[in-house]
Amino acid sequence: MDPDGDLIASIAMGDQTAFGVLVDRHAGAISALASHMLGDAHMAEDITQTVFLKTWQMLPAWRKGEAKLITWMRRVATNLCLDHLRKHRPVYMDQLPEQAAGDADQEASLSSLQTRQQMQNHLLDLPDRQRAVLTLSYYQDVSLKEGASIMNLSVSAYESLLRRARTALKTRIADDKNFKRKEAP
Amino acid sequence: MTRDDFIKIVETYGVNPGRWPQDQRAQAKKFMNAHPDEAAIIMDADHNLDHALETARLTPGTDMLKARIKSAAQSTPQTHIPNPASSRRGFGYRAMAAMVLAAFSLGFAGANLMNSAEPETITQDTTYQLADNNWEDIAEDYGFSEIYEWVEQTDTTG
Repeated sequence: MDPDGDLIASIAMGDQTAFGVLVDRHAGAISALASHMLGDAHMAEDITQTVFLKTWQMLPAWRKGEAKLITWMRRVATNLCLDHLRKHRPVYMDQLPEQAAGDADQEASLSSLQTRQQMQNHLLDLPDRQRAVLTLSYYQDVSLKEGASIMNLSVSAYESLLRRARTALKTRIADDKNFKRKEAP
Repeated sequence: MTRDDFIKIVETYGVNPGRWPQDQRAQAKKFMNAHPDEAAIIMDADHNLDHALETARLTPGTDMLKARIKSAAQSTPQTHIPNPASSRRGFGYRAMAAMVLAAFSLGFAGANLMNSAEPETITQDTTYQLADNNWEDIAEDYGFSEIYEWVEQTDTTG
């Protein structure tokens, strides 16, 4: 059962209001997927817009029962990101300014931002398809089956790609002497 | 569930049982409860990784973007997508793709031969330790898995 089944027929008939509901429902998820893949908020917005306009354009030809609409949209977004990354490298996060002496809250907040930035850069350093499976499984919470379908892989191939992605990321973090690890409880 | 099975689950899905495959979750939890110390050691590195992944979660603001998309749709006509290309054209693409993979494989084979003379270059590759059995992994990571499978099939049946 497609959770967007209530909108598909209306959008296919050209209903802009129903399309607006679809945008409200999924723009955040698609935009987050593209942001994680590219590290570039502006390009992620362009790709998100492209995904929705493709959806708007193709829904009259949508064949019911083939896949969930959001799975198809995630697949289009992932492929657009991978295509973009074949031509342009991901945009790494800028270094934060030197930490100035200040109150404890400010320092903790800056430290947290630095950790976040370092982690995002480690993610962007992974091979694109490894980053794609991590993005889908971790940040989009897709099931194994859905992830495999989006990446056009068998479930076992998707699973082993995910495992390699996590292992590669662990190695990068372990090798990064400046990375602030979670303190033991 | 064996220790190796448990390691595989944690290394693939992390430490949160909610992310473990449903059909293995109960067995994995059982292993965790039966061997708490061992499980804690196994999960330690992945606990840190899960925490680090959470710090990098992005939640972009989308209000302006949503308005932009809705506005763009108003001036975009809906179209029907044509049927997929014919199988003959598909074969042409596949044949071309196979040639690309063949060139890719020859490149790696060449690199492997060179590496045997200069072992220090292997250690510079932190992503892969080139071994006899990881061509399929490389093909998957870089998006050649379909081509790889097709070539493999062609080689064994042709």
